[in-house]
Amino acid sequence: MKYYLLSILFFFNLILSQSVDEYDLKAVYFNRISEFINWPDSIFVKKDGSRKFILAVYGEDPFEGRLRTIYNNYKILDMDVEIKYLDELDDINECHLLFVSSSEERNLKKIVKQVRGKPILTVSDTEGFGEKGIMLNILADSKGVHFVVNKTSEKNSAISISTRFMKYAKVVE
Amino acid sequence: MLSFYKNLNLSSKLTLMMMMVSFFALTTALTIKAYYDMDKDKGEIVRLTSVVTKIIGDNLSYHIIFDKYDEAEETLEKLCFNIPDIVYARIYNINKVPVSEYNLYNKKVELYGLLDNESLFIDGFLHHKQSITNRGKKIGSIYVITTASSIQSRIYDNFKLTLSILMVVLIFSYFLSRVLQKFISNPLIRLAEYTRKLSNSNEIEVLDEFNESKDSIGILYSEFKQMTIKLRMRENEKNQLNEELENRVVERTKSLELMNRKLESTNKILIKAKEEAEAATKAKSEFLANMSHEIRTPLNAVIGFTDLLINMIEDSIQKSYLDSIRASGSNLLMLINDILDLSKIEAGKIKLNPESIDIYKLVEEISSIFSLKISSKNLKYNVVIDRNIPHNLILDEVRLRQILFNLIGNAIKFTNSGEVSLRVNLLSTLGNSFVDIRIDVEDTGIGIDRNSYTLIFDAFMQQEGQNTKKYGGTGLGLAITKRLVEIMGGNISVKSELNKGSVFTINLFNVEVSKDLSILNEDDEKKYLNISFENRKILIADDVFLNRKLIEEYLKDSGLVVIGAVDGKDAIIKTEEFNPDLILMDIRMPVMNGVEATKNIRAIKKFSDIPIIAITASVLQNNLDNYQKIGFNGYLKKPVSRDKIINELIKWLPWKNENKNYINISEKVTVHEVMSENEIGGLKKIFSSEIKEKYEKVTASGFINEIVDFAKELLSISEKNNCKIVTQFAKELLSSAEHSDIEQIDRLLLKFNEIEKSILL
Repeated sequence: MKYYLLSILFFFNLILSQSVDEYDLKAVYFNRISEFINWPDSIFVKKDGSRKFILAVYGEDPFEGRLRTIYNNYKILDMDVEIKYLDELDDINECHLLFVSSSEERNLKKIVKQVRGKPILTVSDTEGFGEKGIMLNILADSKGVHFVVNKTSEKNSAISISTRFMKYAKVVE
Repeated sequence: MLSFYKNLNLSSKLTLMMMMVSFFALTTALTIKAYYDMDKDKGEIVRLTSVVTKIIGDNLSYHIIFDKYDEAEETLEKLCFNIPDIVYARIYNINKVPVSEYNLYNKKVELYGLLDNESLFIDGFLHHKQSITNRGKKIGSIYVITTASSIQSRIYDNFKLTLSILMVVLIFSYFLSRVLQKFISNPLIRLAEYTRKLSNSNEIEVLDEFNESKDSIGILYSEFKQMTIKLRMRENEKNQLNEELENRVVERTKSLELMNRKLESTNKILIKAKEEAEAATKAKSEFLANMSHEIRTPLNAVIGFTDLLINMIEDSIQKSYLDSIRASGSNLLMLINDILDLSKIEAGKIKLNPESIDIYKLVEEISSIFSLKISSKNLKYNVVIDRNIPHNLILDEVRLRQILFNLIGNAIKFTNSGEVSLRVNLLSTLGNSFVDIRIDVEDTGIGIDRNSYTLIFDAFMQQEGQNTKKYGGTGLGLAITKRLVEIMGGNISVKSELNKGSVFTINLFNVEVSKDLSILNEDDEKKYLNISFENRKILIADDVFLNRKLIEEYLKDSGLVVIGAVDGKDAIIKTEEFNPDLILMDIRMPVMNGVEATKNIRAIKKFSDIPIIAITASVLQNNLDNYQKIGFNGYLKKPVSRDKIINELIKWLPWKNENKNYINISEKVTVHEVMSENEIGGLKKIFSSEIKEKYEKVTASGFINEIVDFAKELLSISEKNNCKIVTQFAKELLSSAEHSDIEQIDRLLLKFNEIEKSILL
């Protein structure tokens, strides 16, 4: 059901009005990408024993706050999703997926350095960010959405990306 | 197929049977194996397919998750193209919506509603559906169709292997069964051959030794062998029995033959004995006949001289002695005569001489003979004749006379008072040719005891206690009577009551009625003995002089002029010349026979109505009609007697009786006529020993001249004694003798005997 609705949404975005909202689509993609990422299972367990997927946005929020609306009803990897907006590098550790906004081009090195060795998937949607150390860069053009994976960053992190995914993504070092 | 199998011989059947069994067993086993293998292959291929499909599915999870369906199709094509077995693939998303498709041959394919991880083999293709998962979660499904080519080749290989195994096994089993079937078929074939031989030949041979196994065929074989042994034993027993039987039959036949021979010889002996007995009887009878004759001559002398002495002696005592001698002599003579008769009958010497007689006349004659005796005993005498009895019966007059004479004589003899009756009745007639006659002689005499009914007909038997002295007689009369009746084809019986009387009954059967009516006129014939035809002329045509002369002699005193003709032609000439009133025509004559002559004479107008009488010697049945057809008016059979000629002539010529005083038989002696004592005494004189001796002599010799002398003497004596019966007899005898009528003479001579008897009774 979830996918069905998502698919409808996807079709609306893709076919009817590409320009309707690019970020709604990208927001949905977080869910799907997670299907190909391996996090250590223990990191999702909170102190009270519940499991929660924490999605954080670093920098300006291109989703204009709609992420919380979307993931209010949807889950990632069968877990409730908590949306965090971060401005401080030290706060990065507290999330599982970190979306680095295009506004943070200057802080990229620091961010990459900060997440190294940690079970955090860094995702961006800005051209060139992948080559600069962001693990997974989501790009969209007239042909549709495609991905760039930074293999080095992935190797340096505590997570792994599925080959099924990598096979169809552009892999950079 | 079945009939083909039926017609095979046993060994082929067995071979075929074994091969068929092994074929079916092997085929079944191999088929099951093939199915098992195929199943296994299928499992294998399904496993392989599912692995391949899973890889494909895994490779497509990215596209599904990110809804990149165009890319998914490309990926699918790339993936499937490298796996040549896959001909079709289709991807469904999580909502079971088909999203991508791969079709190798671009043909329309039919898909089946399979569940995940389900497989289906159809038409050599494997259909398989499998879920696509990512991180253990189902994200879609994939449906693939693969050519199960590996399976097919596997099946083909299996088939080839099966066939070759089958071939090898069948060939092997053929040779094996050829060998093995012999164990079953050989004894059976031998049995069959043996039984065929058994049924074709008569001999029973014991089944020969054979390798006997312990199975049922072996048991059958050995049992059969036992059976043949037993059969042979029985056959032998049977043969022995047959031989024994044959021997017994031969023995029996031999003994039978022996018995037969014995019987034959016995038979021969018996026949010889019988012949001897018959010869003896005949000899006895002949002896008796001869002896009787020999005895009669001296006896006649005794009686004759006694008669002479009686006339010479005056002394009454001596006369009474002589009377006794004469009476005894007479009795003895009578006895001898009877014995002579009986002997003749028993010797078979009596032959009947049947001819036309008038039974009425016979009865009258007998009655007249006995009239004297009856009147002397004061008896009543009744004669009743059935008027329906024909006058002309063919019977032996002499013998019938003898029978009646005996019976009536007896009746008178044994009756002292009352009456004697003679009744002649007609029993039945058969057409106009034959009659049955019954003659009863009834008396009121002493009667006969019932026990003696049969005895009295035996020779020398008189009723028991019969006073022989009183009644006299030889006891032969009834015996002779009975024999005579039987010879005539009749029977005699008696009914009697003591002291009341007896009835003797004679039945004569099938007495022929004569067609010769002349007998009716016998009386007239005799009446016209001396008849006159007053100057009538007759012509006699006969080539034999003596015949003509004889007839001339016959007609000497008849006042006829007799002209002779020597043959037929002469007869015609003489007829024309002398113009006779009647012609006597012999049939067989030289020059022209009687028939021709008659036809010629008839042709002459003047003589067309002249009476012509044929004289014939033909022994064939003569018939008036036949002669009338030829042209004759009548016929006479040779030898012709005077009476016959006269009898015939009076039919055609006017005549008159010249001598009215001549003895006329029709002056009948009635039964009630009383004979005078004088007459009876005269009779006794007539039958003197001298006359009787003469009678015997002429009877024995049969010379006509002697008979004539005897008749003349008898006539003179009878006329002297005024005895009508004897006078009549004498005249008849004289007449017969003068005309050489031998038959008549015989008859009359016999009659004399009866007359004598009747008087002496």
